[in-house]
Parts: sequence; structure tokens; C-alpha cells
Amino acid sequence: MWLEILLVGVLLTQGPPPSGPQNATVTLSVNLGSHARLSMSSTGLVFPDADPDLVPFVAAVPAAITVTAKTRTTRNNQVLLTVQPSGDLRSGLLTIPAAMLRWTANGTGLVAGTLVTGSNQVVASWTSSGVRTGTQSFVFENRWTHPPGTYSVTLVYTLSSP
Amino acid sequence: MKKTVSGALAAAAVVVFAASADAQTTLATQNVNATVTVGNQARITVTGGPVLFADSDPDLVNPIPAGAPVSVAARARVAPTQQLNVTVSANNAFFDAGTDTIPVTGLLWTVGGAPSFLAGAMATTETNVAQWTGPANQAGTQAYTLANSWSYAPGTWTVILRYTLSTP
Repeated sequence: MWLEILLVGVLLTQGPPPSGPQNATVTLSVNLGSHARLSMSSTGLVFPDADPDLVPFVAAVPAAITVTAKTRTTRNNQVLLTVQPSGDLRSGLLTIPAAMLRWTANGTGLVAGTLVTGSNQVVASWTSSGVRTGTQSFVFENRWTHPPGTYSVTLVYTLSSP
Repeated sequence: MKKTVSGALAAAAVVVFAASADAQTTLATQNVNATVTVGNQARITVTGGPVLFADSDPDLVNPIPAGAPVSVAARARVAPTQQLNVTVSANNAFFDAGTDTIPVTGLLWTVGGAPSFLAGAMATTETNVAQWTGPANQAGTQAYTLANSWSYAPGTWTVILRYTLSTP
């Protein structure tokens, strides 16, 4: 953000001093650029091993991620927060579909969803500028058919506008 | 001349609008790493017992069907190449231990449910009830029958069937 002040004056260098009201023009120009910042309360989610019969949906640790999105954009402009997994959950050659990870959401504009490999899923949408916070609570669908292993995937969050 | 300029402006406006409708402008990104630990787990559940065979005339009912089938649910989270077996064995070679007239080998079963389940005959050694490879949740049923014979000693006799889920 920068502030520009233009001062425009009129100086009369010739003739007698004016006796009536004097006019001067001052133009203030404020240039506010578009800015955005996205932050998460944690950049790691861990799902511990559990018995599928006892814990069919394993909650993440931490239980919730707080999402903070700060945007300065055109009035009524839509701001979209999406998430896309880098691929399926992978442990060496073994894979588990990323769709086994789903979330519930809390906060204005945030919606629940399920990860889809190769596709951006909407986490939240807002309009206009503002600072928004909300939480996502992830769970892993724990099935007997998952081969044992330690699986990883990167969730790429993107804040965008049309 | 004025008309031409107006046309050019209109065209430019359309182009800009179309571009903004197609593409999203990325404002910020953030990565979160997710790690899932999936450990080995196994469970076998057998329901439907006790298996009862009613007294019957050997000339009229042979074999004797059990009152109800046995349900077997075997769940195992193992490596994709790991073989799994569900076996059953009797704790005695004869229902009537001591008089030894009713052999457990007369106890046969047919199966329903998952294709991994196998028909068979009872023994005191481990006999396969189901076999498959990799992590799975297998559910099936066993419908038992007991061969009937005039040579059986009268009485109420019991054997215990032990089910085991294992890897070779």
C-alpha cells in the first residue's frame, strides 16, 4: 500500500497581489493494491493407527485446523479457498485413495467436503475484502481393506479470485 | 471514426471479461502434509452357535441339517500379498468320546457369502473354511449337516469347534 499526495498550487508571479479569496487544489490519491494471505494453524495432520471396527473414522491430530484468509480485493469480488491433494495417499508402492480423507467445517463461508485426487475442492468462498477464519476437522475412513503402511499426501490450499 | 473507436473498446472489454471468467487468479497458497498410519489388524467373529442337530430317524433324515447356519466374519489388514486362512478343527475325533460311535468326520458343511469360503468336512486337524490374499473383510456362512446312522450311541453329545484366522 502506498499513499500519494499531489499538491497542486497556483503561484501568481506577475501582477498585483490578489485581494479576493485565493484558491488552491490538493489532490489526495490513495493506491490500495490487492493483497492476500493464507495461513493455517498447523501444516501437519497425523492420523494414528486404529481398529477399523472400533474407530471407523480416525480423527486427525490436531483435531481441527484453523484457516485464516486475509484478502483485499474488489468489492463483491468472489474469493475462493480450495484444496487439492498432491495425489493419492502413498506408502511406497501402496496407495489409498485421497477420497478416504474428508472434513467437516466451521466458520462463515466454509463448507464440508472430501478430497479428490486431481481436483480442487472448495473449502470456503467469500466476497469482497476481509479477514476470515474457520476450522476444518479431518477424518480418515478406516477400512479393513487398507494395506498396512505409513501413508503421506500433501494438501495444497489455494486462495484465488476470478 | 468515432464509430470505429467505440467498436474497438467494446471488443477489448469482451476479451477481458472472457479471460476473467475462464481463469482464477491465485492469491496465496499453503501446503499441509497429512500422514496416515495403517497398522496390522485381524479379527474373527463366529456367530450362530451352538449348532444343534435334532434327533432323527436314520432312514428318514440323513444327513441331519443343523438348526441354523454359522456366520463367520474374518477381517484382516495385512500386506497385499499376504495369504490368510480361516480354519476350523474339532476338539475330539468323536462326538461321543469313550463310546466312539459318532465321528466328527460325519460333520460336513456347505458355504455361502464371500467366494473365499470353502465347503469341507470336519476333522481334529485344521481344515480350511476360507482362504484369500491381502487385506479384506470376508463374511460367509457355513451350513452344517451331520451324517445319521443306526450305529450311533443314543445320548446328547457335544464337540467344540475352534476357528482360527492365521497366516501361513
